[in-house]
Amino acid sequence: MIMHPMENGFNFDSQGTTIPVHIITDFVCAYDGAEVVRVQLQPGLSANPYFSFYLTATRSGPVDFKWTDQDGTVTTNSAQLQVT
Amino acid sequence: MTDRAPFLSRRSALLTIGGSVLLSMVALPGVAADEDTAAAIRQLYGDREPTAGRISLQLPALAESGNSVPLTLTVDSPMTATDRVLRASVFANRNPRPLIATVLFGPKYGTPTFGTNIRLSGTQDVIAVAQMSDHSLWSAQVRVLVTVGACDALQLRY
Repeated sequence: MIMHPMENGFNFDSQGTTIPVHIITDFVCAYDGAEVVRVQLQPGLSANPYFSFYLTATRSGPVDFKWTDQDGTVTTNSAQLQVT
Repeated sequence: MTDRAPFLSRRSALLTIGGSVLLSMVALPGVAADEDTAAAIRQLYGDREPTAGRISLQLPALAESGNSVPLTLTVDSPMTATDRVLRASVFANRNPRPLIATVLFGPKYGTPTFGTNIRLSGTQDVIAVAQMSDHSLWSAQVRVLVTVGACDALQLRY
């Protein structure tokens, strides 16, 4: 989950002008060097986009998350997965 | 008379263009037609018609606000190396832009279930299309009643 307005281009500010589209276009989760899931986002997703999914854990390793904004801003996060 | 006919047809053509431009401006945040959804599906998955089945879409039957509607997509697939889901897309057939998201399933993906929250502009059908590793296409369709759509709700600013 990431905090992001996901402006869909159909809203108006207090002056009545249209707020331009501002969305995250791409989300990738990688684990153990392989891409687990990639989501191509459109304005039809809710603000602060949330995803739930499963990955097959075979051994301990980092799980990397990457969100790419439409203007190229990249946000990353990582978690260590321990398999015992 | 012969040089008058093309003038008339040009004028009527201009009127038609002007009228359609005006209409499209008025209907800017409007709704998509079924053809738009079909075109969006064709653009991503080609001309083949998806077969109904193998996908389960879990959505509330009644959503009070269209701003955030929980959606869970489950594909009936063993997810082995040879038989798995490659990708799936969610469409809302009355949203201004029907395509909501496309999910690409990687080789490490576990149970083929994916959950997220979507925006719905009003009461409409949500359609999911999935492509398997044997390139077969499957689809599911669920009707959702929306009390306040995502577009209306944001303009009212409540």
